[in-house]
Amino acid sequence: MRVFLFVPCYVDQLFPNVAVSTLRVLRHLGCEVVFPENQTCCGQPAYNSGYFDEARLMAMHEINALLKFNSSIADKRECDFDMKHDYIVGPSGSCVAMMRNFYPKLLSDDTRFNGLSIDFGKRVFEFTEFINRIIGVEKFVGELNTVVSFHDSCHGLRELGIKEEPRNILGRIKGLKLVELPYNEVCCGFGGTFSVKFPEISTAMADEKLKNFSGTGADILVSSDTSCLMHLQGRARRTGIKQRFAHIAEIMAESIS
Amino acid sequence: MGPESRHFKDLYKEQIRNQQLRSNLSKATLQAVDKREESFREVDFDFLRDQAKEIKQESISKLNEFLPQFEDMAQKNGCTIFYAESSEKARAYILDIALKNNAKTIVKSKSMVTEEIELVPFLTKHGIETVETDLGEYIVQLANEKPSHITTPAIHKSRTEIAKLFHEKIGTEINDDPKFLTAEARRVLRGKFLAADMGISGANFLIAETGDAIIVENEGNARLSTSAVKVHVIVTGIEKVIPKFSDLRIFMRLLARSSTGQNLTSYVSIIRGPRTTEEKDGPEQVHIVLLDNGRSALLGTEHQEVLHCIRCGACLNVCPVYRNVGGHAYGSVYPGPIGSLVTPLYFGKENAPDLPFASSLCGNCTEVCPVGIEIHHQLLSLRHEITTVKKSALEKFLFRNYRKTMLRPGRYEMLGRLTRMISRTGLMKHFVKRWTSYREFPEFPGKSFRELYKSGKFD
Repeated sequence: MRVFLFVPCYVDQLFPNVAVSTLRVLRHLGCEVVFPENQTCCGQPAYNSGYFDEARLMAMHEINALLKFNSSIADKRECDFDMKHDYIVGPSGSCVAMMRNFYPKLLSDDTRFNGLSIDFGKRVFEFTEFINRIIGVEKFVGELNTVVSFHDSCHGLRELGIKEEPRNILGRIKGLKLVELPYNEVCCGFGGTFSVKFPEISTAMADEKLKNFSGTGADILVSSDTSCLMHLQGRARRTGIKQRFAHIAEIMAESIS
Repeated sequence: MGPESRHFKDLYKEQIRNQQLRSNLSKATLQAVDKREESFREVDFDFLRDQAKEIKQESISKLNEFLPQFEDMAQKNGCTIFYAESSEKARAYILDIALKNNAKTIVKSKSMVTEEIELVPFLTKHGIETVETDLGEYIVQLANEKPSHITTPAIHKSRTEIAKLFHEKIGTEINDDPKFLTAEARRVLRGKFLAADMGISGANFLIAETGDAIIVENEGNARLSTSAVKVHVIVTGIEKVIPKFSDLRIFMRLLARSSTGQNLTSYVSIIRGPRTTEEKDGPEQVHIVLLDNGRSALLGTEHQEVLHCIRCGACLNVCPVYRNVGGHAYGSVYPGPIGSLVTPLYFGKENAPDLPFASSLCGNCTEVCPVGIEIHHQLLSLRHEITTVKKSALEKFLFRNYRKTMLRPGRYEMLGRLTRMISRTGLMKHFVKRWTSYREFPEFPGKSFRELYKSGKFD
């Protein structure tokens, strides 16, 4: 099974370990993984801020970039995405929702991209969703002694309908105990540009989430979206909360190493 | 409608500092969320929501048929219909009825539309005592405030605050037992009901088929305000019309559950006109004021579905933004997620340019909406409309350059490298102050993922 790895821009630049872990886990599960190097950003920040024209151009770029594996240095190869057999997988419910749900809306008037964006969306998967629905979660086994809570990202949860998938995966890690957060479907307050447009509200929401997290007594807050974690961890460090924040791919990679 | 909604950015900053307010709201809204969830365990929410959405879609897309049908039927039932295109016209008509009937005291039950047209201050200014008879509205009126929630107007107040307010305004002893406070309000209001010459109410649904106005409530005050008076005026929005009486079977199961977590409200009144010659009681006149005030402008636009709203308040209760800033921050009688749509759409985007942005787009509002309004997607499309009109030069510049960078992978990569270099000087925090004033910025790694990938040195 061949996977074209999609890495959100902020993960690429700020959290490379999340992408490395995603790649390792997918290879561990038997996928052939390539990283199309012309990919940049899905365009969601522009879209969610109302800048649809800018977002549209980025969406077109990203579709083109992801459908072509074009390696310049590592292994000089080129290949095109096979719409019937290949998959695009990314460690972010939010960016995948942008590509699967919003690209077709954004590109509906473009004769070249309207159909393509729909077909493209059907081949794009969020990481935990891909493992559950395509690979089969039973293929994964890990071991890690720790207590974690899981934070559902709103886009993963409500746009993609991902709820049990990450929990199924955590359940495959021996020694790992999951303690659910109270009100685990309430937003953490990140919301993209919302976090800097209304920082007081955004961090008030983070504080509620962090209070609930502290109450669970867990060591790590795990999520399948790094953007929520970046916001929560940033607020936690500022307010003196010491626990760890980690993407589920990182936990999985640790559990198999 | 005042222009306060323009000042959301100032208003929310003030409200969010109020710890007491946030604690009151958090308690009340989370309790409402839990009760709602509980009450939907025994019925199929998705099925009912889809049915309700279908009925609303039909009613609103054929409003030009159903509204005249309702008017016809209501007139046959003996009601007087007044179509008001603006707040001013609605207010003037209602004042005229009050003056003609020599009304000195008016009892009013809960109605968001009367808040929208600022009816009570208007009538009071003209020397007519107008008393709110819904307990929450009564509290807010005593405090000289505006409601902060669509269905629970005094949600921002704790019972201790209410006890103090009652003590100051109506001279009760200080006792924060809800039973005691309710009894005191009831005692005062009973006198008003007996003295009243006229009653004003809203309506939750108008039935085209029969000409009925439906009022749901829990306190019996609406029943009294509409039956123990000589003149009854119903004030409601034109979008409240639904085709058939039997459609109520869907809405009745959704409304109370969504709003208070009850299976059904304690009272459901069906009003079919003034007393007939055979009837011994009931009002002699029933007037129905149908308010447009910006509503019909949404017909045929992509925002038409906003008119489907049945004002249950569920989206407010689940909204974490609302929970932290409260209704007053929105500067509008319609707060929360639905308010962030209704306010700019009814009263002008220029009057609420920030409201559609005051959301993390988490989508919880859409998830609980009993008539299936895609609230957060509507907010998004309003954002687009606002950014096209509003010219923030800096923001436009930033987004244009962000796009330019993302279309050129080489430039993106170089900029990333440059940013990581700057980050090592410690200057980064000055560039993203709106982030770093509240949270730590993540530490920049030595290399981006693509650099690691290209070097092949990550495994």
